[in-house]
Amino acid sequence: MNSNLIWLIFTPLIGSAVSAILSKYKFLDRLITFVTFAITLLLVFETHVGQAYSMNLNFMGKVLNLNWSVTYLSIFMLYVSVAFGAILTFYSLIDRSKMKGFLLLLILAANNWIFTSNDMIGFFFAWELMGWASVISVLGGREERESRHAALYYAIMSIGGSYSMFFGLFTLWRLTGSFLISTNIAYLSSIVGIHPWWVLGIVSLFFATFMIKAGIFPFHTWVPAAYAYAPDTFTPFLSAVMSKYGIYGMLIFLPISLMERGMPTAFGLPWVNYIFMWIGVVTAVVGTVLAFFQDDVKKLFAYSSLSNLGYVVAAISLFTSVGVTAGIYHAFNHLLFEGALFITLAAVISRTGTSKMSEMGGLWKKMPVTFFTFFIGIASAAGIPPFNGFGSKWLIYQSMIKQHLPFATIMLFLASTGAFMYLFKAFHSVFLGQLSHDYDKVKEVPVIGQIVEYFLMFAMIFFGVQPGYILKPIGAIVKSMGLSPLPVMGNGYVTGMFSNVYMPLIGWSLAISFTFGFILFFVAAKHKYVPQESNYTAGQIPQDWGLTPETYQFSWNFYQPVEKLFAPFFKIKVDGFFRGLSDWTRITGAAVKQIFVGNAQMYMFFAIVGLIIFVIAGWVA
Amino acid sequence: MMFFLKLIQGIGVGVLSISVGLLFMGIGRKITARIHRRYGPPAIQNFIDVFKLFSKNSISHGFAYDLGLVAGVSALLAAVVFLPIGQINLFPTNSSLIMILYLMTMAYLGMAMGVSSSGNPNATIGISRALTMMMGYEVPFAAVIFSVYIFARTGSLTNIVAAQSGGFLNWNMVRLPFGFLAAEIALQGMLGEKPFDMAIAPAEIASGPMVELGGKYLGFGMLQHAVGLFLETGIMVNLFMGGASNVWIFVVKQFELFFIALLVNAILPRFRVEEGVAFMWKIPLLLGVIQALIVVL
Repeated sequence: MNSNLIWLIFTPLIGSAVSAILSKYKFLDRLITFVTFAITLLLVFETHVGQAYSMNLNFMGKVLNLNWSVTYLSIFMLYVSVAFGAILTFYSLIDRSKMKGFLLLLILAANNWIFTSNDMIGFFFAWELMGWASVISVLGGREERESRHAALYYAIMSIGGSYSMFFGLFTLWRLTGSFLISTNIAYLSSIVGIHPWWVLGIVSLFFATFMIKAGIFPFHTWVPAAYAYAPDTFTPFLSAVMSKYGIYGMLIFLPISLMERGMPTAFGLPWVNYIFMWIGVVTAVVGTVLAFFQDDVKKLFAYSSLSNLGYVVAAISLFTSVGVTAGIYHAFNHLLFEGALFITLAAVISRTGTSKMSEMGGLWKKMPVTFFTFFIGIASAAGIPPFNGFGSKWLIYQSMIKQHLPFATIMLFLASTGAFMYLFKAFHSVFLGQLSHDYDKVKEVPVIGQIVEYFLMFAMIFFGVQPGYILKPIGAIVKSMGLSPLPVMGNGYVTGMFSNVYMPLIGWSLAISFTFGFILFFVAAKHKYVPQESNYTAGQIPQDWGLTPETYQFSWNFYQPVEKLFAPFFKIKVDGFFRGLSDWTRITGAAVKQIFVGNAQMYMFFAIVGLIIFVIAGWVA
Repeated sequence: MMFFLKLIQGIGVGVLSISVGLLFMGIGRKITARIHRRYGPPAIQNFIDVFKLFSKNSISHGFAYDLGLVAGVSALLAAVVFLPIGQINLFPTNSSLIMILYLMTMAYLGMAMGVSSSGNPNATIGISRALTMMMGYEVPFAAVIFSVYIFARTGSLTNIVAAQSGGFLNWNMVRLPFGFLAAEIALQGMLGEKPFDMAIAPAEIASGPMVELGGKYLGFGMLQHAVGLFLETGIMVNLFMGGASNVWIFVVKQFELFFIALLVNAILPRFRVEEGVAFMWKIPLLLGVIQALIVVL
């Protein structure tokens, strides 16, 4: 028996209890959170593929069997999520937001449980724990009213997802009599040729849950609000780690599509996969287009985050070896750069006290380390080699072209170019341009924050230049899914279908050309530094017209021409659908309320009717 | 030893690209002048300009400004060594086209960062226009690239060139005519020539990104334009005109493409930004999509 698996869950729970008791002392609370994350990371080092653990719970006369097992996918996810959490909690030592350490530790427990669980009851329980802990974590952002709304919206979407998964889980249990995930997947795979619609129906119930958690179109509506109004230090975890639960779930269920090969196809893909691929592409494009027009920087990056998850979904839905490799690789890269970006944003917001881009600007002089981290972060997110976002985007394009899907690829390329645009908008509005006089006294984040930022910079460059360290474990995952892994020629190579890229070479090339660039720069005639006010203004003096640095900063309506271009599309609102649904629910609720007149006998009557229906249903079934 | 050989070759390629780019710019000025019935500056005027600019004192707005301008040239030089130029092909196994395109993006990011950190809103408006336009031309260009990928079954420029060997009729220009047309129009946008020069727009936003540049900074801007010109036309030559057997033919082919762009530039007025993007998404994208359909089906 490998009981250390159970400690993966119990350690955070114990830490959570201690932290909840000590939550009055903020620093102590954060310290315990960090230490627990560090200990859990050590426990993850002790975890190996193939370990399994099971436990019988006696539950009202029924024996409930809980199972844990470690697969290649789960060990990969455990490593990256716990390591990122440890970095984030280290950063949170200096943080002043209202993030609660014990909630984060509850999520960590759920995180470890989700990634190792092999039975659906445990999976569902952990999923619920994670969902509720994160909903409560979203409360307590800077703007109380908004964060309450965001949490409510998120909670309702999560509940919808949970119902959906609950329904799917018990349907499967009725069919197989087992809660084991592996058994059920095998069962679904065996009947997919005979009853494709049944399988599709059941799997869609699970996928709805996963899509809600990952924020995939059309369930993306909760993402921006929740990310933007969550506590600043919690948002990195929400974006980087928690969105991956959805991706993990999808990866568990996707191998069924291997058996679907007998089904009708579209462009060489099973049509279900084809539709799912387009859902991913639409997510990428929608996220990109909406990100252009945000003024709240966290909202902008929330859209950026879901746009990147669209890439992941589009890639894994192909279910080819290069597609799945690219998808998991991009999920990892997304975790790293989006986490880094949100941490730098937390640093900026902790210093400026606002997340409105139109109120910031010129901060690069004041916060140089944060500025460079952000710069490398957006370079990664834009997919610039040799930083870490490039390899996965490149593989995603290749996987799409390999399937002969030019239109989807063009749309993804559009999303990528658009990503460069909104990333630059955020970059400019926060760090470049005119520094407002309000921020004359802004300082760089404390040393702990800087250490974290240096580390993240290093990680983004390291995993960009040495992708093999990630591609090798991904190869094992791909192999365990029954696909042939991509060859990994060395740590520096990204091997594609059409050509290879040797990343260190790009690094060398850049290093040498930058050296020559700077030699030229210093050999040339001298320069002198001038204050930001000495700009070319065609002979006018901006102060004469009452222009201040804030009004002289160009960040409002940054992409007005694009807005005009996309104006027709803005009339369609997915949010409107959910609002309509909520209005409808309210009306129905009011109608139902008419029945409940507050009379105790009436309630009793309903209870008895319900019981009778329940009994009859049980008897018939 | 290998390292130093490649290093020296790489420096050679960098010098070549800068010289050819500057020469093209000079010839371009001359030709445009003749179309406008002026005499025009000598063809080597841009070399003189660069030397002059690098020897003048200048003002800077801080380290982000310095770094950005240097990055603008350096990242393009880092990308140009991966380009097969006639018989010069330094890294034949590592010439993925998408990699080169994304590496070029770093130069634009650096340039954009540098000029925006100056705090002049004209510069940022120019950058915002340039990026919007970039979204316009990259989409049809991507459609063309992916058509070529599917058609040639390879993504490496070296192999794309090799697949076109054996005469004029094997060139992708002939085999993929719609794609070539789409890429030609996209190239016009990439080079920032009229009718797609709204990023510079001297009469509206005081040369946009270049508004704050002076002295060596303007020199770096000019070098960036030169290398960009070389790289963009070079990619087109490799994609559609079968590369070349030696450097001189390669440069001549590049000049043909540049010459067409110049002629269009000399006579057309400029689009508004959104009109330019809409145009790119109508005609070139349609052509690119037709080409993709032909290739896939």
